[in-house]
Amino acid sequence: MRVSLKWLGDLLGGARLDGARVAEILTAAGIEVESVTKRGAFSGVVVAEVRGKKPHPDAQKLTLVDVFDGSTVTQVVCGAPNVPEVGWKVLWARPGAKVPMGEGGALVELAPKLVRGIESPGMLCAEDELGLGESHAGILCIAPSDALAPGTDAASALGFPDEILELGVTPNRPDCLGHVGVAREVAAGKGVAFHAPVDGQGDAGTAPTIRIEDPEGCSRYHATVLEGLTVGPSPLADQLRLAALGVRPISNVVDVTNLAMLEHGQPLHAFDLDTLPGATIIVRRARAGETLETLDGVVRDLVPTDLLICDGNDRVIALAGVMGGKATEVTASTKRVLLEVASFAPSAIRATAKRLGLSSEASHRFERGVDPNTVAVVARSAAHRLAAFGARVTAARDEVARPIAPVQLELRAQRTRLITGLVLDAQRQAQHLSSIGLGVKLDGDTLHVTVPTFRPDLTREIDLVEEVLRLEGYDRVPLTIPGLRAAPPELKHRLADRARDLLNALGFDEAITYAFVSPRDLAALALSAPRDRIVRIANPLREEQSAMRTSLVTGLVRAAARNVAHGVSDVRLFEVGHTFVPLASANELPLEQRHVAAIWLGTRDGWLKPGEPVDYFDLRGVVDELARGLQHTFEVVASSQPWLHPGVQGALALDDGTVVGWLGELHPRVAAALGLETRALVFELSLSALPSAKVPLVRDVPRFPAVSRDASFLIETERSSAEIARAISALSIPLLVEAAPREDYRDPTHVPVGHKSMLWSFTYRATDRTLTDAEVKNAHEQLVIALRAQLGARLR
Amino acid sequence: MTGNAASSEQLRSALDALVAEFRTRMSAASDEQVVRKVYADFGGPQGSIRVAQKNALKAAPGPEKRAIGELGNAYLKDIDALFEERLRGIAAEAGERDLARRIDVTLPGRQHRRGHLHPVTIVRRELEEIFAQLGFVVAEGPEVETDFHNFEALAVPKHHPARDMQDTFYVAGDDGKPGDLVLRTHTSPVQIRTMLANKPPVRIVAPGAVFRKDDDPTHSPMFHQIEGLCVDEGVSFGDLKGVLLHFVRRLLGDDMGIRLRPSFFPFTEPSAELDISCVFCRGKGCRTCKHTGWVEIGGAGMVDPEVFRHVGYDSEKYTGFAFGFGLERMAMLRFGIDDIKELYLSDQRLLSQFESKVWP
Repeated sequence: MRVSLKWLGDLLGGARLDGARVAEILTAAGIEVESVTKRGAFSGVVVAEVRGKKPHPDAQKLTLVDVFDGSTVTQVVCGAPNVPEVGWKVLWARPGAKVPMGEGGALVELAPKLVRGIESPGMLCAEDELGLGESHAGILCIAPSDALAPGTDAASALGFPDEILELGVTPNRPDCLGHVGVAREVAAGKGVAFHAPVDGQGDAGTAPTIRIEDPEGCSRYHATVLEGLTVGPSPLADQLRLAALGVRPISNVVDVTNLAMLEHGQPLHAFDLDTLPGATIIVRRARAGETLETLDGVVRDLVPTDLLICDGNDRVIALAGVMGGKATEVTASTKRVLLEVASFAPSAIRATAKRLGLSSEASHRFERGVDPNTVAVVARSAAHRLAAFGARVTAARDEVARPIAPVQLELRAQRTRLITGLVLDAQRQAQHLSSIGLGVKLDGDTLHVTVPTFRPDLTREIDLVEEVLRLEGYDRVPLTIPGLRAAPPELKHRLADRARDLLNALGFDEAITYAFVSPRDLAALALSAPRDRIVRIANPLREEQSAMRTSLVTGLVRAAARNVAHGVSDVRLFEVGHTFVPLASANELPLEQRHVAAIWLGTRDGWLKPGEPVDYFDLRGVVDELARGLQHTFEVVASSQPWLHPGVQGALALDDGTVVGWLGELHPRVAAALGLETRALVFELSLSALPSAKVPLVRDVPRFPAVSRDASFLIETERSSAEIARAISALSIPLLVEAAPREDYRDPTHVPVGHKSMLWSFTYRATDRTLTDAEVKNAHEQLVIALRAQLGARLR
Repeated sequence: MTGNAASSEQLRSALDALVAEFRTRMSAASDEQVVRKVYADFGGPQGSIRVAQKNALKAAPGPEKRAIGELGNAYLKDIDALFEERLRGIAAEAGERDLARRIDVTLPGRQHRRGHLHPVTIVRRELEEIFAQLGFVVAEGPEVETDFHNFEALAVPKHHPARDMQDTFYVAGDDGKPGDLVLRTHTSPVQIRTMLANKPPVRIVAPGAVFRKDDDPTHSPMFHQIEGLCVDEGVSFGDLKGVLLHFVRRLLGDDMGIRLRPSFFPFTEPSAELDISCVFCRGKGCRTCKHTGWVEIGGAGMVDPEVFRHVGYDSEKYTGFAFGFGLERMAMLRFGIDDIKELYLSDQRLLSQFESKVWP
């Protein structure tokens, strides 16, 4: 919403306002001021009438224009393509005039200058040359009918200089969608009285006929018939004001409705009465199958929730409060109009505007709530403006289907004190509320408040508390700290942060990627995610962001690819984030889990020589350390995830066999589909699936020395080291406390096909004595025999 | 007597010769291994001195054996001392040689790469820590939310213009059209979940990802907020101001200030926009703050009685405040990042620059 400082000043009894000060007042009142822009900072420019024009003898594109400033005729050189006919008027910046044509809109004083050999005393001005807009398409032309007389000082006659404030009006303040409402706030802020125009009695004429069939949708409808109109352009002053406020001038009639709306916040609509069968208006909801061609030329299908304006033949002529119909539009030839000023229900207007995706200045205001009790004022004000174009009011009628009375509220002054922390007596609170036009009666510590209908947002005591606080000033509230009460911590959250710290320590940087990903990426992952197993966004920004991720892997792979493309050869990234799996119904919250995932590609750190490429076991080491830090033990068991290399992957299983994640080499085809040409290692683990970790107790440090023995043997390749370790553990060899693989050697020139050569290291120890050689020898022999017998291991 | 003297003398001269040879060879030995070898050759079980002693003992008649034994042992003791001394000497020489070692200390070290937290995580944790000191615990909620938790219970009914304040992503229903689920547009639904599950007093902060259908140079369709909620008897707007000023000063410095501007949110009343002193010019006015000295970081206010009604709290007995602001915005201010989009590029060259604040 843009407001003109000049207009605000006029509404405040001709006060001269300072833009910065008004911005301060409005900001403190809760109306955000997004910008303040000076407009039309010029002087020494006069209205001049074109008395003659001829081409410049030496330049095709230049015109020599004779202009009359009320006393003399002067020849000015003009480069614009649109020099008007004799009798029209233009704006002439005479030598000595100051115009904002310098850098950054600085004022420049004009001097006579030679234009292709002919002296030009000043110039005829285009919009941009006066700081009135961006357009340099041509000079400003004033119709002969415009009342501006030659010689008039343009700045004062057109209402400049002005300052335009761009306001961010919150949806609860429809009253500030018009200059009157904004002026009321400024007055309260300045501590001066404000008298808004009073609505008074409506027009009780018998014509036109108004039939409101839906009082819920339309509580009041005011119609004025005006005749004798001459439709034409608005006076330049009005056109410039509208343009300054971001509204395109159209014709005097339409411009009047717009100006009235900008003043009062009440939308109006004018119908060409000669396109109607008579001065009859019916307000009703749409019937199935009805259509209307709206002003923008689009034929709209109507539905029964749409509130309509219909003519005496019950034909649709407008979508109430949203947009008028093409057929009854005011045109250049219109002579008689029916002017509508009405109150429509916010919900009805919003439903239609939303459904049609059609947001107009009118619907924007009706959706938020327009004061039902200024209708007659606005109608008369508009009629008064139209009188300048020959219009006479021949009939007017104000039909109130459902009177809307002011709301009565009670405010306990103590309640304000409690909620705000301010010490404010009832008297002071009453003053604040009165300053914005509320009726207040004091009754001890209680305020009986009458809320005028222009403030539909004030319906409860708490709303009045806010008004008092706002008007007193948020900055006046003393600072306090609420008393402290402790509460238990959130454990799951700590687990996620623990995982972050561990992966940091292990060399991984944290990435955050979007929770919505491309369905194609998820498909590339070939995760167990057919279409119906993905949470989809109904209105995504783009197709690549339309599926909620079922895995963090695609985001990390894309991120890694991007890093590689930017020359980062050693990528170590992790992410902690949510994944989403739909449940039975799409209206049920999906299963949301917190996962941690990482990607690693590149080389191990080498020192003064290139490092070796990282492999599965580097990642396995990271996962093991992460598990230790999270105080869990994962067993790696066989898995066959389609997104991982078929021979280099494993599932992470808890003691009870529950699989909580996977690790391995990313399947090269999946990598390629996601834009990564490099071998990459990934793991993903569900933190949500982890049970609470047990608090570990310390183990005794051994007091007696251990003895180590190695054994090297050939064994079938399929026997995994986990299986061998399990078998050894099951043997219950006395004194054996640890068995660890040291070598896995598979060179086919030295090892028989189907076999691998392994070196294991075994540790023997007793808790109560130092072992003798004989004891160790005995135990180790027992182990070797058992290895051969149970696993077919052949000692080398 | 003569026999005794003769065998003693014989042994003594033999051992004198051996010890002389031992000394010569020992001083020629330059490393520990040789020294031990030399010692073994003379003083070891098969060493020449022991052999000479053994032979002399064998040859000597009974009464002389004791003297012969003692004589040999005295010599053995001597060479033990010489051996130990030579070992110390060797160790000292080795120590000297080691001290003569020189390396290029300016070469880079072996890497022990440490990863880095995302700036959003860093700021979130700092905030959680500050609020924890004020008794706020961390609460969380789902990112896909019901319309009820995200809007309805927060006093944003369907068909209300306030819905336009936040462009919402809807989850597709079974028919592909927008259903009853949304990607949460703010962390405020966590307020609702917390209050529905707990009786007052409540004091939480709720950090997390939120989503808005907004994608331009200054907006990211996913970003993070942290929400605060404090409900108890007698909680006032003054408490809100006190808590906000405390956190801003702890996070950004004691010279920071806050400004609350009246505003509108459906779920708070009174409502305020929260401005903090411009971090770059400290309130003097610069390009970042458009010369106002202030930058907006979030919203705050007193919990609307309508919200209490939805969660079954008695708004006559309890009052509360809530606040929320963008973590990206805080991170951008903290680290001097210009473009929010950079936080989502996962570029390691950027990510590896961020360090947590070292508290003074």
